[in-house]
Amino acid sequence: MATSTSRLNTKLIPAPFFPLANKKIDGISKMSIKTEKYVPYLLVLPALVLVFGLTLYPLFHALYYSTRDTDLTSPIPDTFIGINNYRKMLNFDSTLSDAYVRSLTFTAGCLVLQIPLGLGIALLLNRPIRGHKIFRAIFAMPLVVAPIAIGQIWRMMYHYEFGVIKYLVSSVFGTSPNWTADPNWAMISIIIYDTWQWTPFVALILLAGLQGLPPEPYESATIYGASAFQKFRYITLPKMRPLIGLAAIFRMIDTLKTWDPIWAITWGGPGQATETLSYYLYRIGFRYFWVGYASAVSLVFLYIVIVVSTVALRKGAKL
Amino acid sequence: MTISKKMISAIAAIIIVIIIVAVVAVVYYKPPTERKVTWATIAGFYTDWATKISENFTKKTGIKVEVIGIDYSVMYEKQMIELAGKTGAYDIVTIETMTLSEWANAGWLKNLTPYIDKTPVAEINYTDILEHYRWVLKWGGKVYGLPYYTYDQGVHYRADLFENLTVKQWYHDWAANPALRDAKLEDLTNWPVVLKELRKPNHQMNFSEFENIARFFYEEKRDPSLYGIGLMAGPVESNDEWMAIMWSLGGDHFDANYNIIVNATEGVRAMEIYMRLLKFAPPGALASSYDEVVAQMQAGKIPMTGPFYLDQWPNMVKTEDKISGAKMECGTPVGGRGYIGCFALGIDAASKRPDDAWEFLKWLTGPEGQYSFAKGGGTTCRRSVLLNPEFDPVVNPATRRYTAHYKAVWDASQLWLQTAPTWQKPPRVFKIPVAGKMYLETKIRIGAIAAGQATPKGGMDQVALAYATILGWGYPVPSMTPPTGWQRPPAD
Repeated sequence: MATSTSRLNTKLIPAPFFPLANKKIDGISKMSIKTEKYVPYLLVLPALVLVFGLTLYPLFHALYYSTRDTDLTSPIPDTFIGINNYRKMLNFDSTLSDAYVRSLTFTAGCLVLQIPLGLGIALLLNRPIRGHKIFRAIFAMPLVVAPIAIGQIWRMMYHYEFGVIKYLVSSVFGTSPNWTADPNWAMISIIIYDTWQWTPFVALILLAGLQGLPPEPYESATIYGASAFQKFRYITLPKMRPLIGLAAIFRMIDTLKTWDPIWAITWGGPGQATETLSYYLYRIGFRYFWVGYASAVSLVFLYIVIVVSTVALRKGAKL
Repeated sequence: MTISKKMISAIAAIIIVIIIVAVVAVVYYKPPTERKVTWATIAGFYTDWATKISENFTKKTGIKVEVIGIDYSVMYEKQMIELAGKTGAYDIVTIETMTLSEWANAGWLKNLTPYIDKTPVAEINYTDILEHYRWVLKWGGKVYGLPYYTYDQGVHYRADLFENLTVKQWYHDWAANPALRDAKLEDLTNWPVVLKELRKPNHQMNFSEFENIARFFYEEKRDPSLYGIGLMAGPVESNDEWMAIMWSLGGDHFDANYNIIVNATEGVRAMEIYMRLLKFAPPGALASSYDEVVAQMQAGKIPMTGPFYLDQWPNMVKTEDKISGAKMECGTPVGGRGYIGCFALGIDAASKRPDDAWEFLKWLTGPEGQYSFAKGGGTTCRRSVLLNPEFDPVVNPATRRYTAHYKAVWDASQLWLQTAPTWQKPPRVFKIPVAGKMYLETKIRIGAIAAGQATPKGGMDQVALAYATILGWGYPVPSMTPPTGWQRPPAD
């Protein structure tokens, strides 16, 4: 109410509801109504400056550059080229379309693994086991490490000659894939890494949801002789569905943007086997310095992420 | 909500005070009197050494040097962001040979020629710098970089294996008897007798012999953990290996008229040879960089490298500490030509202290600095230091672990001078302003070929197409020849 008051037409409000209309209250000089009406704007100004400076300005700047042939390494001044960057992107850049496919593959792979695993871990942690707080802390540890730093360690863990992963897999199965060097396995390597790092995030979200579930339906189900699986299938899962959807949306948005573990583990290789859209953007933007083209690609990428996440959020809200 | 006049007055007073303080600070600000330059360089060994060596410079001149260590993997873009933004954050930048033309063409580097001209010869001795570096560090006849660290290529090998009489006999028997070998590979029946003997790899060896040696160690190994060759076939350095083979076969990225010929016979054949060598490398080769090859050598997994950075000798020689009886040696590159690689120093055109920057640059890359560098285990780019008897292990065995590769560096540099045609001095690619981008693109495509995602011919066609696209030669279908109006790089 307090915030909406300032937007009301002060002429329609009786004096007791708008004390600043009086020139003097309790002997203190007050601002005039004329001055006071600017106060709300002043209060939101810092937030506006932040939003404009950190979000809108870069966005408009990217829009501006997306219509130019800016190459930071070229001594020739850039020129306006209209929608040519977009035309090039849509018609002639096969690398980009391949990168889109890889991004979607990576996202799908991560979601397929992380959501069920996260739910499983959350169900386990939700049980009254001794030392559950320690387990939770251990599960959350991958979340706090920097992907660049830990990615370098994973790169060595995956190495065919020196890596512990190859050793362990060979011990169990007698053979091991050449994880990061085989184009068929490189993307799977990144998905496994991402699952290791981000499944705890899903688990923590779902654990919070599980702990908020009311006990009554379970008590009734127990009385009627429902099995543990039936309780999970008909009570837990339906009630958890919105939260699972939310966790999936968070992870989807994040995996679409993933760049750092790819850089640390495979450098987008072998060849271009793990070059996702964000990695491709990094290459053309920060290695080739084609700022104009990179802006166009990043804007289209941004629109796609916005549309996909909006649709997913709306779908999630209906669940 | 109420705001009293007192409150407004107080806020106004605070703002006024802040403005007054800011104005006073600006008016009375005195720049620091100490002379200091910043130097962006590679983090790690290089930074430690650089910090140590720059202290000597500070003692001599009073100019402090702030060494900013940057991880090599991001050094290129981090420096470029500052250079493009004209921030002058780094007075001295570290330049890779493939990027000099791009940076000089963009106007990011200061022309060093006037500085060199006014500096006494004893201090700079420009012609003492190996000639092939002088080729690649010029743009339009002007010098934009001076080298301080070379990573020219040669070959490292386990001399104990190549000298072992039993191993030599095995090789002799293997080479003399086709039945012992896979018939699909090169037949040695008609080879001269000398080639049927196990020889240490060097520039006199051709790639057929080199392949067969790799194959011999791979197939005939009595030690099951031994592979045939160590290759850096990961996504970072594989193109340096391929380029060495391609140049050795007489190929190049561009011909004398700047037509793209990277996908011509030599380029494709170089890739085919590389793929055959890859069969004899440890399976992790596809994810390996130079660090892993050093580790493979130290673990006794490989008897020799492919075209490999000679500056890694101090690390390679540690194999002798880890494997009993091991004896390391290095030599000129097989086929005669390796990648022309060095780190050079240039001055940021936006530097606010170019004269002080020059003082440091001149000292570090000059005879005195390079001598100190060599004493500290670095690989110099100067003739006088490379050929200094003090660093010759024959004369001074104590330096063997740090400088035994100097002779190979010198010989490899001379091979370029002696064998390359005039138009290829230097290869045209070094003079293309977008060479840095093409270098990255080549890495990707060669990585794809090595990983089996493309055939050598198909992959090299992709490289050629990528070059033409980056050069902007035709749109949407790029041309392999320079279009009319394309401005050729200025002649040196």
